[in-house]
Amino acid sequence: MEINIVLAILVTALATYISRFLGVLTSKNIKETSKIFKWFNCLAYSTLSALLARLIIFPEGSRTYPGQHVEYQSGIFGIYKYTKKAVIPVALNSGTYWPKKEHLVAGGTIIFEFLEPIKSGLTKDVFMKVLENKIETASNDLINS
Amino acid sequence: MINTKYFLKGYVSIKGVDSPAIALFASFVAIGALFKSIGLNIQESIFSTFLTYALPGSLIMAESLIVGASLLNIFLAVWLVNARLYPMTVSLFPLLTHKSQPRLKYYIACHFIAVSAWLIMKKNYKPVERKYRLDFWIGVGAANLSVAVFATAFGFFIADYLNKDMMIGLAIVNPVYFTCVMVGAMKTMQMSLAVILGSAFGILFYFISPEWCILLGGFTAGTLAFFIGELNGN
Repeated sequence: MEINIVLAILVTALATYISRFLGVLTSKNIKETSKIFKWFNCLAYSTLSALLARLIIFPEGSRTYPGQHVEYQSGIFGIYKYTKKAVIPVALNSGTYWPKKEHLVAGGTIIFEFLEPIKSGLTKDVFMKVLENKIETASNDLINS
Repeated sequence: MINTKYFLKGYVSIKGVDSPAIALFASFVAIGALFKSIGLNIQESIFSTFLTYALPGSLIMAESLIVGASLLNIFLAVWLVNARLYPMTVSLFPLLTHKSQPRLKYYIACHFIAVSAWLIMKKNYKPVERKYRLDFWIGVGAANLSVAVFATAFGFFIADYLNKDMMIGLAIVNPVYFTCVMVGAMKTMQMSLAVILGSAFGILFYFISPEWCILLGGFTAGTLAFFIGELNGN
């Protein structure tokens, strides 16, 4: 973690308080019977429901930032176990050119690196660990190269 | 400085049957666990909930810490997602103003603006004598904030017993609860349109900009709802 946590907390608190502060400032001259008050009431409910819809429909992106660590989902193990085949892990650096949450795709060559196969028959814990190690190490090497 | 009777009245209003306390608790338990998993200590976690007390902002902060975003980035992202607090404040505080209350008190009391407390207050302000509404509000806000802080600490300590799915489950309780309350608030044409258009535009604008969708979507929807309502006599 590169940045100071306490600073990040303070910055977050400040960025949040600003809206509350400006709200009080604006409220000073608004009567509860006025049209403007009604308009703000509509705005409050609509922004709130925009936020809720967003939270429920798009809780979190599925792609990750380059180098970000997330837990590997175990679906792959199911296929590995039932097909009794070897798995060929693939490392890639696409996140460098097309990051999560951005629409612009930067120019560059995306490299897919096919790694040594993992032979069949490993237990779940071992398999997941080997798979993760191989992909993470190779992807990080790609990103940093 | 604060009228104790009204403060306590506000404080205990969190006990109601339709109270947001349980949903609030669930979501902040998830935040506490998330804070622990990204490496905050207990003091920092409590400090964060106490100072920010707005869930989406805390989520953004956690996400930014994971990816190592700059402080400026955190500031902008949090400001964008929490800007809804501005119209929320403007649609609540004119109901609380009274000339006997010192101005500074409002600037401190506004820290309690967050969806849970705001919804309770919107529902219960009418019978409260105007002179003491601000004290009542401080009570409501303090009750909600204490639940949030307590839940954060609790979540921090039980983090090891929660897996990712459980955390997501806990975190989603609050949005689902609020969605129900929103539907309940749809009593006039303006309110109904604000809520329905708000969710529609919130999603539509997501495809244009995930960062700005709440603000732009909310603003467009709320303004449309207001004018359509006005033209049709509410």
